[in-house]
Amino acid sequence: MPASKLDLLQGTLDLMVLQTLAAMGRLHGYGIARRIEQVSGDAVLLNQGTIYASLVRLQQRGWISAEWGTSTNNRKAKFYSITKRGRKQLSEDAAYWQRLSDVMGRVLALSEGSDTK
Amino acid sequence: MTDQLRRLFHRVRSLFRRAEQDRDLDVEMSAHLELAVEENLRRGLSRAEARRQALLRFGGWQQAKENHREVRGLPLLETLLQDLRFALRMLRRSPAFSLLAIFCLTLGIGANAAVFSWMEGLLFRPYPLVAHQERLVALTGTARGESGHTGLSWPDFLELQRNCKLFDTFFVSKITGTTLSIGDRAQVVTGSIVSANYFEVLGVHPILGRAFEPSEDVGRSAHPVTVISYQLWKERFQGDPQIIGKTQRMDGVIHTIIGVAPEGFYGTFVGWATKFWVPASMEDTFEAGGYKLEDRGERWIEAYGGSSPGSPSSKRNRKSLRWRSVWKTTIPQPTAAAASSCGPCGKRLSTMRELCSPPSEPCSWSWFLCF
Repeated sequence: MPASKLDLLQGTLDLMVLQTLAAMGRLHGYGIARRIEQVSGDAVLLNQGTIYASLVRLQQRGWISAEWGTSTNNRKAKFYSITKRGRKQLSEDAAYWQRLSDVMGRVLALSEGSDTK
Repeated sequence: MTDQLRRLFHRVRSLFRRAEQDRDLDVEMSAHLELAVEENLRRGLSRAEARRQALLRFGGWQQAKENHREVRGLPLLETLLQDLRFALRMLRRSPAFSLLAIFCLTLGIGANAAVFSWMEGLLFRPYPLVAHQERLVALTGTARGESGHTGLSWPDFLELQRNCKLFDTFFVSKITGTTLSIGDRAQVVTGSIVSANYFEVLGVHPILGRAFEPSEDVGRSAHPVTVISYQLWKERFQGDPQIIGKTQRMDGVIHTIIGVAPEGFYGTFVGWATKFWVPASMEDTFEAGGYKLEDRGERWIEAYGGSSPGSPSSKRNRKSLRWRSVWKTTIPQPTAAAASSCGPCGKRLSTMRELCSPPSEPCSWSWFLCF
């Protein structure tokens, strides 16, 4: 485990959830949380419980939908899947984050390297 | 926009489905924990350790629930509703105390509302129907070497009318009263002795008959005529359209009714509804102490000055500093007994609304109640 985990920036969890659902299809809350942890290589400080607030927020916006189903251990669980509107939102948000991280990368490179120009 | 509306809709709806949503979340979170424990067991942990790890990874259990509620509902409103429910429960628990508290509040709020509407009527609301009352000021006399204010004498008033250019018009009035016997009922009513120009200066026109004529100021008890209020006309004379020219005995003298004032005009005494007006020449009839219209020492009337809009005097009368000098030159040396100088009440000329004549009793009472 890394010495210190990354705190999630505001709004990033929602995007991660959307992306996970888009990539993996139908999942329950635990599945989503585990998936995010695995993908991040356990580098993200995620209290799994916080995912439920994110899920209800995305549901209210109509970006994901939920239905009751049965989990692998035969327990009643709620399964989430991304909606059409959610996919649209995801592509917008992803593009935004991409641009932002590009800019951040460039700015940070500048401060390390030459200060001319 | 639609996005926000949609969220609002969900949030409001969740207010009514609180229990159901809490139950759902419980089921969901329990399933989550189960899955986590099972995975940990598969990794070879003991059951206790598996559960501990699972809980650890989940983070605060209650906190997760709270976050969920906050996001899905309207936390402010929910808290408010909770507080309300709590308050009602507490009120029901001790009904006697609650009733007492409610009673006290009702009484307090009621009394305050009454007092303030009273104050508004007495002090702040303009005189109904009086035109340009912001251009009217109340004048009082002062006695040399004495504090306090006095009225004016009739000769003072005539002098002002003739010579004082500080205002365009002056008028006077004096509150009085009489017992009216109409039919089988006697009633004490408030009246007013006024200069003949009273109605004209106030811009109040009788709805029936006429107002006073200048000549009606002159001659001791020579003009037993009266203008009655709309209220009196309606209540005691049944709104008789033929009222003009009829007579009414007041203080032993038969008066001819010459006019009916318009509805809503109550005269110019704060806190009193004047029911009839008589010209100054009838002073002797209503006032004790004999005929005072020729006596400069008898300062028995309240005087007012008024200026018409746009006239030079309307600017001048704001300059209270010049007031005294003008006044002194206007009023000739008074008789020995009477005071010698007059001035505006207070430090400046006040409009009628800030009337300098002492507030009537109810006023001081209402202040008392306020505090």
